[in-house]
Amino acid sequence: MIDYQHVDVLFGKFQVLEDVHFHLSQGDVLHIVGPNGSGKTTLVRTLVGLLKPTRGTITIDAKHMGYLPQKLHTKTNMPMTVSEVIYSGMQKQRLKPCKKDCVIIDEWLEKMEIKHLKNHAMTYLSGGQQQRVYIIRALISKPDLLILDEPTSALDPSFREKFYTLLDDLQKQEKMTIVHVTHDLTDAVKENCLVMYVDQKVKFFGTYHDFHEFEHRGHHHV
Amino acid sequence: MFDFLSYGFIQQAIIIGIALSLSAALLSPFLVLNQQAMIADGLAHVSFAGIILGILLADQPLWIAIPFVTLASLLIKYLSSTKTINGDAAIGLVSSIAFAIGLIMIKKGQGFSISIESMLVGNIFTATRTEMILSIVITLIIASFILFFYRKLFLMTYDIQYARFSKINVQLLGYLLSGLTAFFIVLGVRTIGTLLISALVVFPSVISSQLAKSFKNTLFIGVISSFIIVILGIFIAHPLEIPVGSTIVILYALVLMSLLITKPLWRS
Repeated sequence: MIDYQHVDVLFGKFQVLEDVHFHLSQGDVLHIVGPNGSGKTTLVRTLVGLLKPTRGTITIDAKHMGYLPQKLHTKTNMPMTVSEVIYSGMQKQRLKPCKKDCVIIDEWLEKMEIKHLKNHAMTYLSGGQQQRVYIIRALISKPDLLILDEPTSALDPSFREKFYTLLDDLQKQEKMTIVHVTHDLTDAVKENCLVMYVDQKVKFFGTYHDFHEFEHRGHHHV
Repeated sequence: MFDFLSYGFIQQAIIIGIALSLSAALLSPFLVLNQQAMIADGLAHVSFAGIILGILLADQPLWIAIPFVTLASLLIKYLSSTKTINGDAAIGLVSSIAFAIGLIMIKKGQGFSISIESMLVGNIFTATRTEMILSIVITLIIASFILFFYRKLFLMTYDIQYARFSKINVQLLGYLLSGLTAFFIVLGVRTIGTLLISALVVFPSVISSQLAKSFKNTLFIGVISSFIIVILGIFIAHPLEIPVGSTIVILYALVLMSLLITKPLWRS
């Protein structure tokens, strides 16, 4: 599904990523951890095609990708409703959304517990509510590869747990491949997941169980 | 009371007014809400030079002015996409250079008989039939472009990174949007004037975003309010013998001011 071959990313003379080399198969769940400024978001940007690597090759075999960026480049004071933003994540969009698409939007709003906000203006939503809207935008097209860059940073702890359970169910049902950047693995880790520790280079890549041992040898993802 | 409507030049002015108000209001949210409001003002300055060049080189100045301003709009778009020049700086650079060239051409051009004032304030009542036909054509092109690419343009306007991720050709759509804006501006400069044409682009979205919650309604309210104000502007300006462009801008300003003043009342 995803194949990175000796990928380097340089910004001028500054090397952000060095010799990144890994492989993911369909249905894998990968958590990327690492300290601030370690290149996690740069790695994600190469994955979603927003940044070309300076060297190396990236092969992605996905029919459709979903993406939740870390920093939202949205205009905060723009008049637009929750449903308009969610619809912009749909794969096939019409000038006027069809009934079927409206039902899908309603179902997702219910799952994310923000159904009452459907026709609200985005401007008046809290940071956490906005994040839920952008999570739906990433998921609504049923992607086979989902990339989440710190999706729960603005969510409250109780909903964070629900969100990861929802994601786990979805991953099992759809055999979705998930790449998830986080600072906190506690809620996110489910069985058989993979963990990558990045700090310019890939310092660790393997199962969560093996990552525990790696951490005990003195590496901490803070 | 409405006897003046029987005059051909008034009918022509109303058709041009409707066409330009619709074009401007359709372009408005995609430019203003994307922090590109000043592109209209910059291109109006470029149009000044383009039309002078057209007058000097051809019988029908628009055939020279339209490609000239379209090229300038693409140059602005290109410069603002480079890492070292911001969008507003690119507009400032291209428009001031073009305006300077225009002024030199007026001074040195052989047989140049049009007053600078008429270029700056425009006159919708002296517009030609060609200008009327071109106004209708550009309105149809802009309306088709906006309706066809509405969803893509909306995503580009509020989240350019996600639009790139969604494989939308943001560069091509951006160039097309700039090109169509240029086409509209050239026609607007001749009728509304160099100094005021950008108001037709800026006001509709600013007014409608005071009222609308959704992007769709922002576009819709912008089109309706712009249509009413431009028609009203022509009807008021003609009997009072005041410039149409200025009347339209004053009407826009009055509507915006009353919305801003009463907003706390109807919001609560």
